[in-house]
Amino acid sequence: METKSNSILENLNSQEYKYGFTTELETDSFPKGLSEEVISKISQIKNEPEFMLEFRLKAYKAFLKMSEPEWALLNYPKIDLQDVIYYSAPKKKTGKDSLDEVDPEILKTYEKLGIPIGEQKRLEGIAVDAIFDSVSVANTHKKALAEIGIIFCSISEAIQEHPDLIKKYIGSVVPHTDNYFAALNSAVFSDGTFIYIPANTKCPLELSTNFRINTKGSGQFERTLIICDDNSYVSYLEGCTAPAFDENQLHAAVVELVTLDNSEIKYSTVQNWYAGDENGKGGIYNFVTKRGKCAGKNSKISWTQVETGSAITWKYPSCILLGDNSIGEFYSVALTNNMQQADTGTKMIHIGKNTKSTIISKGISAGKSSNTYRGLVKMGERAKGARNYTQCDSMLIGSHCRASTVPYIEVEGNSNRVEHEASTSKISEEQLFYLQQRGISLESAIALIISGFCKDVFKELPGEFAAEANQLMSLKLENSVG
Amino acid sequence: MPNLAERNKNEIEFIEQIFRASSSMLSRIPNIRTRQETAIKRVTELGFPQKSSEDWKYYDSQPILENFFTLDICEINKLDKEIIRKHRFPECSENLLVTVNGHFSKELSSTSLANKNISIIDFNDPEQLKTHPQEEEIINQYFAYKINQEKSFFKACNTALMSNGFLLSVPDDTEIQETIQILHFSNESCFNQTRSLIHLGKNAKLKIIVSYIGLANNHFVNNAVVELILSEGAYFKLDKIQDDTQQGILLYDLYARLMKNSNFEYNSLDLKANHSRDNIKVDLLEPGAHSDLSGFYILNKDRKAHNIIKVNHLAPNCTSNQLYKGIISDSARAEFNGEINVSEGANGTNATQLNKNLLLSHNAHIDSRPQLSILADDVKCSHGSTVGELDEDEIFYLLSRGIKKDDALAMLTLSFCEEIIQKVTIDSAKQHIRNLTLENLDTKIHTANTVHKLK
Repeated sequence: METKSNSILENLNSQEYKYGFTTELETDSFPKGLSEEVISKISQIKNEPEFMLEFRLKAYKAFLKMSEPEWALLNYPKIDLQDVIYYSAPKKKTGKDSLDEVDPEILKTYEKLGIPIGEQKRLEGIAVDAIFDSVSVANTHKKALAEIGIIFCSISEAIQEHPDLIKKYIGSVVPHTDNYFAALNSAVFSDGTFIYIPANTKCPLELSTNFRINTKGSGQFERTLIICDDNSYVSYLEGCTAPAFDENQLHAAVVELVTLDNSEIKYSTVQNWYAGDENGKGGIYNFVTKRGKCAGKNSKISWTQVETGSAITWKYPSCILLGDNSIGEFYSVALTNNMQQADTGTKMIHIGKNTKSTIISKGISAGKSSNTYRGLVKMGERAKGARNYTQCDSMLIGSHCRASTVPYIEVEGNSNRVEHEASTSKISEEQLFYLQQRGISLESAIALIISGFCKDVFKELPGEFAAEANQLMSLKLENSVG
Repeated sequence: MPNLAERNKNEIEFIEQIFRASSSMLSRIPNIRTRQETAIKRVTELGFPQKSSEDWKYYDSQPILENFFTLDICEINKLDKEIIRKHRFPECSENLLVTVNGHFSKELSSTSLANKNISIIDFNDPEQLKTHPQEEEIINQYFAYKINQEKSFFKACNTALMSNGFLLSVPDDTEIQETIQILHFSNESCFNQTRSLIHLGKNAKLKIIVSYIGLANNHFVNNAVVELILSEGAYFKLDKIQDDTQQGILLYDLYARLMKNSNFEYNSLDLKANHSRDNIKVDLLEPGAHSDLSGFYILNKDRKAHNIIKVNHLAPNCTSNQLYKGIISDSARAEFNGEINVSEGANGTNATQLNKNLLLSHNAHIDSRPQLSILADDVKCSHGSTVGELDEDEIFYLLSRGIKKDDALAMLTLSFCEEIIQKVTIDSAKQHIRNLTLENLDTKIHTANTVHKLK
């Protein structure tokens, strides 16, 4: 058995990070460091209205009083926030109406990443916003979407053109005082995606953003805000990649979702930031605050995430179920290998009546990595008839990795119901033997079993991404499947 | 925030009071005495537990801090023998150990125990130790184990303040047939330090049923610490019944160290008291060790129960189970915080953990945290937690059979906890527990009738 699990490990270890290249571009970068001056300068460059600068400075003041959270099962040296570049943008002015104006180097980068922002790919039915370091560089399908009233643009643009919506909703789900990293983001965020779906509209396209960190030593602080008005629906996809540098880079994003009556947001992420090498050198520190508020009746927010990258992942996409009969869902696959550490999970806060939530979490740890599920299910006394079902399974590959499950269940009131179950296992000998005796190679068998283990989550991903996620898992087992 | 400042002041005073009291509590046995001195140091180093610590997150320490200043550190107290007769189970009448306000009382305990190959040593009697060199060795080795690294504030308090707890030791290859009953009485408004060390030799077998019985009408805190060592192949079963008054607070700390192929069963029944906090830690130190922890809490009014369980799998092929069930009504509150930790190399581990809760009222509250932390790959671990109310279909079924609603509710609730009650060793204790459970349910039911049906 020892040899078998060793061979699994070897296969896992031999795969390389496909997106580790850097693009040679001239960039405008701020010098390293964080201060009120830097924040004002970001706001100034973006030509922001007064209320945004106020919001940023308020957040910065709150941030100064906070300390880094230490409760997560993560081990990393303290981050020096003065050693981060807070703003970096490609130098050439990039217009967003025509792709001809986008720097061809950037287009090439996205081509390498396989992201359809080129004209020829317009038919694929996905509208993409591409974010390169700190700014949005390309946004497709904008006009077509605008015709039916959907706003899909970078958040800097939205601050200019739709200040009312921004003023109303920014910080309404994740307040600037929420936590250390959210406060930092509120102070220094440079760009991100803004989506507004008007009432009675089902967004005809999958909307998507691709995040790319390119500049060495820069941090990425993007902010996403999605608002879905009454009786509407949108499905949104997010992908992340970064070049392979020896030093750690910080990524601290904030995502806010708001659904009003009878509306639904489906938010999917495939996170494949650079994870560092096998000795744990380099890689992204991914500290993300994602939260959705089901403000309206019968509304629904569904998070699906596939977490395979980053040296450190600290991420808890949550749902505040405020409206009666609202639904929150969380589907997650987290794969850690080598020295990666992930502490991820969700929070389901039931406030409205008859609210329902489902949590399916699958953790796979290999190498010397550590993978933690941390989740909260909270039902207050107002939440009558609330239901939750949680399932979190862990799989361990090799004997040096760690899998932890840390659920918090806080329930008040007799009409609420919670079920939580979890199991931990390894790839069973019997399963492997069965597949192998059918003539399937050991490597393919392992890929097959892992794909089966994650099936419940992958089936929640939209078509395009489901294929990508499967590919990504196979990529992590590249030599074995190829 | 003035409140916080006040709280801190209270906490500081708490520690100072312990510091002052401890000097008069030091044992006359030198080895115990040195550890008590270390414990006093630990008390000041650790400080009063704060809410920011994960283990104390849901615990409200105000009742202790508020009432502590009216509490004394009690001397041994008189107790009427009639009361003992009332509380002992008939099966154990010849095997009785009694403590009053944390002090071990030889006079009230049965004398026949000595004939049964069990040694019982008073922690404050150096004369007795002179004739028991083996027991002296056990105390030296295991009493206040690693006190200099102790992380629990209340355990350190207990070590510093305890005056005469006892060692109960069963020699190798000895099986004690009868169940021993230990009665811990609290009859005054005191901060009691109950302490015992239980040691089982190789292949020894022992069953104990412990009751914490409050008689005082004023507030009291029972700070109990049990240290347990099971040698190779030993079997130990412990039933703990919490039978205090509404004024009582029980802080219970049990640390069990299990050697090769030993087997430990623990059953906690939380039936009364203002609030209780069970802090159970089991180290499975050698291959083949097995622990079975279960508990049942029935809470009404504004009572609270906290169960903090840590099972550490430190060797290969060990197994462990945790099963905790609770019924919570009125504005009561319960916490279940269970952990299974599997160390690197502990392959062949098989561990389960389950917490089930019935919430019977609108303000009842449960915080459940079933946790796993695993560092080995050849492991089978599962955990689960459920929160809900009585099944409407089940109630309807009973109603449709002509059973009155109150009776139906009582039957269903009792059958929910029967799984745990069945584990109790002694029959008369089982009946006693059922009666207390029904008392707590506060339904107008024909108690005897329902219990009869269930039997």
